[in-house]
Amino acid sequence: MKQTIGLLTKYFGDIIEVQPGLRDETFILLKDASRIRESMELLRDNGFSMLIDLTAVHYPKREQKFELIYNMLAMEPLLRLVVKVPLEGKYPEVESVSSVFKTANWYEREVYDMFGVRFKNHPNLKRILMWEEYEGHPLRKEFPLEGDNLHCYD
Amino acid sequence: MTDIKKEIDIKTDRMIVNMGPSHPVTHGTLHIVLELEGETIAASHTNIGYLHRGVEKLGEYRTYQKFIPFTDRLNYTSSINNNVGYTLAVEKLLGIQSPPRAQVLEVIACELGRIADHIVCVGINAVDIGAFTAFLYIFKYRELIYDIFSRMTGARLTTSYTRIGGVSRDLDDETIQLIRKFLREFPSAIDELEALLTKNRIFYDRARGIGEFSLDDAIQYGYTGPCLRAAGLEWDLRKKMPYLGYENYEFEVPTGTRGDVYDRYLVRVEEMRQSVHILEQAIENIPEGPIIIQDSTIALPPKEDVYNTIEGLISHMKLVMEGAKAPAGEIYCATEAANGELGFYIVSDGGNMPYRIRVRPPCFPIFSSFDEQVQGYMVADAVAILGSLNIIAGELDR
Repeated sequence: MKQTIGLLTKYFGDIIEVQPGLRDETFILLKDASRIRESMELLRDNGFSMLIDLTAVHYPKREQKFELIYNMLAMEPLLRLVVKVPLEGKYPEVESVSSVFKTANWYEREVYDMFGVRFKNHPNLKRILMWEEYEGHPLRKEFPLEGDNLHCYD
Repeated sequence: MTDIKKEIDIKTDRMIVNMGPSHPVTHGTLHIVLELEGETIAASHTNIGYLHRGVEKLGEYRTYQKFIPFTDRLNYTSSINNNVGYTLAVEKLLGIQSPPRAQVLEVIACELGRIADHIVCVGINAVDIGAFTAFLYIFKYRELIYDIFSRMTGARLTTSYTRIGGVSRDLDDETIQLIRKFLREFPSAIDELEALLTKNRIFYDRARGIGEFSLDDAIQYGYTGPCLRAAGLEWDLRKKMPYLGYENYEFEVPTGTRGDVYDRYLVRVEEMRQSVHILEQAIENIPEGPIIIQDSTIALPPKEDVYNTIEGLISHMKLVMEGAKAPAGEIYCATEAANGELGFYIVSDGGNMPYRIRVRPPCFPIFSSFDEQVQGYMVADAVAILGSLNIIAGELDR
């Protein structure tokens, strides 16, 4: 793990910040979202061969309203690394990593569907869980739990 | 010249076939649009989301305890594994561990759940290919497992067995006898299943070499569980990252070589045998002691205290009304569910409800490879591949 962090700081320098986890996780904050594809490639070629999960968290009160969470897994030896990428703006746009990990294709579609984060150079950026004509992004904090009234019957 | 070209164009005209949303082989609601050239699949497009209930959104508005019933509805063929996975995640967030007896009970529940899940997958895969008899022979034992579950947990499918810091009910002697009886009878049932399928010429021809997926592709697509092991990697979180004391049990991790439908079937069958082996060890070594931690801020106090002492009553009420408080922070906890790695990513802001809860279902990345996997095969092979991937719409769409 130390090797990986050393490698990341060597290539990315200041924009990497290691955050202590609550339990045994290692969190890495990547402050520059435009270099996410580069960092994923670097991690993939250095042991972290699987992207286990990709999701987002909405923080409406923060300045950087969204945080992408890339959950990486190295298999030999087993290591887990969580790369967090804060994003600015109401509808942020970030480089797609679906060319680095094929599994990111659907995960990114889900993040787009649920949070409204757009991915550049994604082969097929459509809604995945909601239907295509749907408006709004359900996992944003301002979205009401009971749903909007647009799709209710009178 | 032009006329010949026209004729070729007519011949390569593609036919569109809709599989689903309601189709006998989809086992859940998913929609697959197949583009066919003759009977060969030229392209496939999958639509999911028909079973989307917004589980992650619902979790943000409930205390940690109240999310447990939602986990039943993720992978409904082995709901007990989801219960265990979720409570382990919350226990990790709280920094506690369930007592030894509860851990062994959870292992027993998990392995029974795994067997039930594999029975459904193997049985239904065989039915889809045309082997109805094998399904009937093996499905009886799923019923026996559900009988055990209904004694253990009070429900057959929606088990909600675990609690934060332990389990909800103790195992009584009669249930232990039932499990012992099941363990005596089930190995011969697996033999029967194998006699009907493994060397069956028709099954072999329909399964061997179909849906072959290389290990590199499998890793690229985030495969976990039996499908990854069938591709040839010995990867099992119970071995690699033991939880619930799995390091104390003796078992092997079966692997395949080619990652096709047949290998997936073989891996699942062998896993059922290994689960029986784990259960045999677990059932004979259940330690005495409490089944839930004695901390009234996390787990409900015993009923005698609630009815007879004022402290018990207060802590019971406080826990029901307010729920357990978790420290602020983020955790990821993964367990080996029947389908692969089931993970829960919890973001806590220090309150009694998760700020964000993310379910990492094993099916989702596996199913995303379906379009690539079926290309070039026949329509009937798509059915076999879909069955072997064991797609459960409940956890796919959440």
